Amino acid sequence: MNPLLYDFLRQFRSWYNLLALALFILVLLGMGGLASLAVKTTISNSPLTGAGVFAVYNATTHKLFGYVFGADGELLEYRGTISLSNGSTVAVSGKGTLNLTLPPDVNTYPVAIDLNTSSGKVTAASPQGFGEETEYFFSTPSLINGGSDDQIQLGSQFVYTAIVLSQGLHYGQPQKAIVMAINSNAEPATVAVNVQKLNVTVSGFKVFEVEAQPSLRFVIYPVGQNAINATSSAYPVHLMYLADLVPNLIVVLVYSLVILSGGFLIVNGLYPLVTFYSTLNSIVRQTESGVLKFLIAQPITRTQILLVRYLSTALTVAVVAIIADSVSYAILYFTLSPFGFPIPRELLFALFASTILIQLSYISLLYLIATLINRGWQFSLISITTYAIFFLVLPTALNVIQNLQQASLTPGLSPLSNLPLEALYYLDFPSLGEQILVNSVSFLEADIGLPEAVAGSLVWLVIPLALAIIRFRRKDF
Amino acid sequence: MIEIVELTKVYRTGGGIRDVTFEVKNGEIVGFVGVNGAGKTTTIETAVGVKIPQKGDVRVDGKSILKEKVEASKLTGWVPETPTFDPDMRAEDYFLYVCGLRGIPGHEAKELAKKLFEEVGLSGHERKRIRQYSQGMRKRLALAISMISNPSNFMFDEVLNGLDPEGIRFFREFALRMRKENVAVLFSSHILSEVQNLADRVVFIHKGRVVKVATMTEIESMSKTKTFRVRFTTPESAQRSLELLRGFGKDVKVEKGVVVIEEFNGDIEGIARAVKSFPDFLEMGWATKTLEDVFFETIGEAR
Repeated sequence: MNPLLYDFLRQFRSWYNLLALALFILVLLGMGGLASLAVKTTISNSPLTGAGVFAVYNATTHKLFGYVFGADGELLEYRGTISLSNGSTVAVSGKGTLNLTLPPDVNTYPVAIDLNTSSGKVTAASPQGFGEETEYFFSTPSLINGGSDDQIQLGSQFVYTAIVLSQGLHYGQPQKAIVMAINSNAEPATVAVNVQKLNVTVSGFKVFEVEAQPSLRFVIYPVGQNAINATSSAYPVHLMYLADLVPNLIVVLVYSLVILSGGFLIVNGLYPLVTFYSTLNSIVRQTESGVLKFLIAQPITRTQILLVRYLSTALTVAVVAIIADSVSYAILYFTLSPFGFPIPRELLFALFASTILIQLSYISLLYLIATLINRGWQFSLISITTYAIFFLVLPTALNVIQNLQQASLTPGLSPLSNLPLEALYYLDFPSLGEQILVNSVSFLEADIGLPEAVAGSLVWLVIPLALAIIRFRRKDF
Repeated sequence: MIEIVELTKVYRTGGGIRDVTFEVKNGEIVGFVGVNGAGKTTTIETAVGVKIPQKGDVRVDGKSILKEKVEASKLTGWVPETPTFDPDMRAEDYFLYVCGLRGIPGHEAKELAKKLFEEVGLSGHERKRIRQYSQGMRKRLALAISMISNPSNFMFDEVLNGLDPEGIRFFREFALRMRKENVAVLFSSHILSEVQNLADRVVFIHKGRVVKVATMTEIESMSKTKTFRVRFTTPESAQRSLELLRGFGKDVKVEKGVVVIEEFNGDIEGIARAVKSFPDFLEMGWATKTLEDVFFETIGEAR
C-alpha cells in the first residue's frame, strides 16, 4: 500500500476521527448558511422591494465597500461626499459628487473616477470663478479612446480643472476619468466634480469602493425617490476613520463571510483545527503510544517518516479545504444569486491556494512543536498559544498599528506608528496568506505584493519544516 | 554479529546506560539479564536506532546504526516487550504499509505477508484489526515485520513477558532455530530459567553498566558449591543421621527435612556407606546455584 495514501486514510479509520470530520463539515455548512441568511435577511428586510444601501469597512485593507441594491430595473441613486487632504486620491464609481477642497498655492490633484458604464457625464467646476469649467461627455464607442491634450496655462491666481478620459479601449469596458485640478490661489479653493451616469439602474448588487486615506471622512446615503425608505431599511454607513482604530469585529466578520466567500474567516478560524487534529494524530499521539517507535526501527530514514506524515496531513487539509470551500461557496452562490452575487469568481482559486499555503505553514509549525514535545496535553497547550499568536494577536496588532499609521497626520502621534508594517506582515503567515488572497482581487489594494506574500509564506513553510526534520532526526522515542 | 561499543545513553533523571560494551556473535544466543530499570531496554532501543546515544556505537554486521541506519536496520530484527501499532488498522494492511515505506512493490509485499504471517503463526488473523490482537499476537506481528528483510541478527526485549505457554514455546524455538541458522540473537529477559535454558552466554547489566559477561560453562562452574545434600523420605531419618554424618563437613544441619553438609570433605564413598543403613535414604549430591543465585551474587558484588 502506498504509505502516503495509508497515512491519509489512517486518519479516517476510527469512528471518532470520522465524527470529528463530520462535525467540522457541519460547522462549515452552518457558517455558510448563517452568512447567507444574514445577507439575505438584510436585503429582504427592506420594505421597498429590497432597496437599500450598506457599506462595510475593512480595517485591515482600509477599503470601504458599499452595496446598493434594489429590485430589477429600479432606479436608485446614491451620493457620496468625500473630504480630502493634500495628496489624497479617490476612486468612486456610479453616481456621486465629489467636493474637493484645495489648499492654497499651486497643487495638482489627480482624482480618478471609475465609471462602470461606457456612457455618462463628468463635470468639474470651481465656484471661485477662476480657471475653466470643463465638461466631457461621452456616449458612443468612438469617443472612448479619446483624451484631452489641452495644454494648461499656468498663471497666477486661478483654479483650473480638466478631465481626461484615460482608460478603456473597447465599448462596454469600465472607463476612468481623471480630474486634474490646480489651485494657484493664495486662498483655499474648491472644485465640485459631478459624476452622472446616464440610464443607471440598480439590479442586484452594485459595488463601489473608496480607498481610505488619512483624515478621510466618508458618508454615503441614498438619494432620490427611494431615499427615505432605503435609508431606514438598510444600513447607511457613517464611518469616521479615526473611530476605527480598534477593528470592528462585526464588520470584519461580515466582510469575511460575505466578501470573501466565507472563506477567510473559515481559513483563520476553523482549518487550524483540522491541521491541529491531523498533526496530533500523525505525530504526537503516535509518539506517546509508541507506534512511531517501531517505525523508527525499520530501515527507513526518520526524514522519510516525517515527510510522509507531513504530506498526509497536508493532503487531509487540502481535501477538507476543497470540500469545505466549495460547499461554502456553493451555499453562498445559490442563496444569494437572486440578489446578485458580489463575490468575484476568480477568488476561488486564490482562496484555495492561500488556504492551503497558510495551512502548510501551520502544519510546518505544528510539526516543529510536535517534534519538540512528547505529550498530547503539552502539544495542545502550545498549539493553542501558537494559534492565538499567529491567527489572533499578530493580525490584530497589525491592524492597530496600521490604523495608527493611517492616523499619523493627527496630533498625538503614537510611537507604534513608526513600526515597519511590512516586517509585521512577514512575522505572521496567516496575514501573508490573506495578502495572497487580497492580491488576487482586482478591486482590492494589497499592502504587500503577491511575490513577497508568496515568498514569505514559503519561508514560513520551509523553515519550521526544516527545523522539525533536524529535531526529529535527533529525537528519542 | 552485533557489536555494542561503549554505548552511553544517560537520561536527565540520571538513569540510563554507561559504556555498555559486549557483542553477540553469529550462531549465538546471548542472554541479557538485569533487574527492572537496569538498562536492558535502553540498550536494545539504542541498538535498534530508536534512541540516540551520547557516546558509543552499535555495529550490526559491521554497519553502524548511527551512520548507516538504513543498512544496519535491514540486518536487524527487533521484537519489543510491548509492540504498539495503529490499533484501528488491520494487521495485513499495516504490514503492507511498512513494506510500502521500505519501497517493496505491492505484489511482492503481499507474497511476503502471506509467507511471514504463516511463519509466525498468524495465518487466518491477517484481516483482524490490531486492537483485536492479544499481546502474543502483536509480538508475532512485530516478528513478521522484522523478518521482512530476512535479517541476520535479532534482538528480543523481554519477549516472553505476558505470553502464554504456547507463545513462550514459539519464541524459544524460534530463537533456537535462528541459532542453528547462524543468526546472532540477543535475548533480554528477567525470567532467568528461560535464559539459562537458551543462552550460550549471559550479559549481566546493573544500574546501567555491564557487570559481568560469562559463558554458560563459566556460569556452571560458578554455580558449583562446597555444600552437599542428603535427602531422606522422612524428616525423622534426617534427624537421626546427623550424628553419623557430622564428620563429613564443618557444619552439618537439617534444613526442611534435608541434611545439609557445609564444607563437605569430598568423601562420597564414605558417606554412601554411612547412609546405607537408613532404609528411607532417597538421594544425595552437590548443591548447585541457579542463574538467579549467580545473578544476585554478581550484582551484590557490583554494589
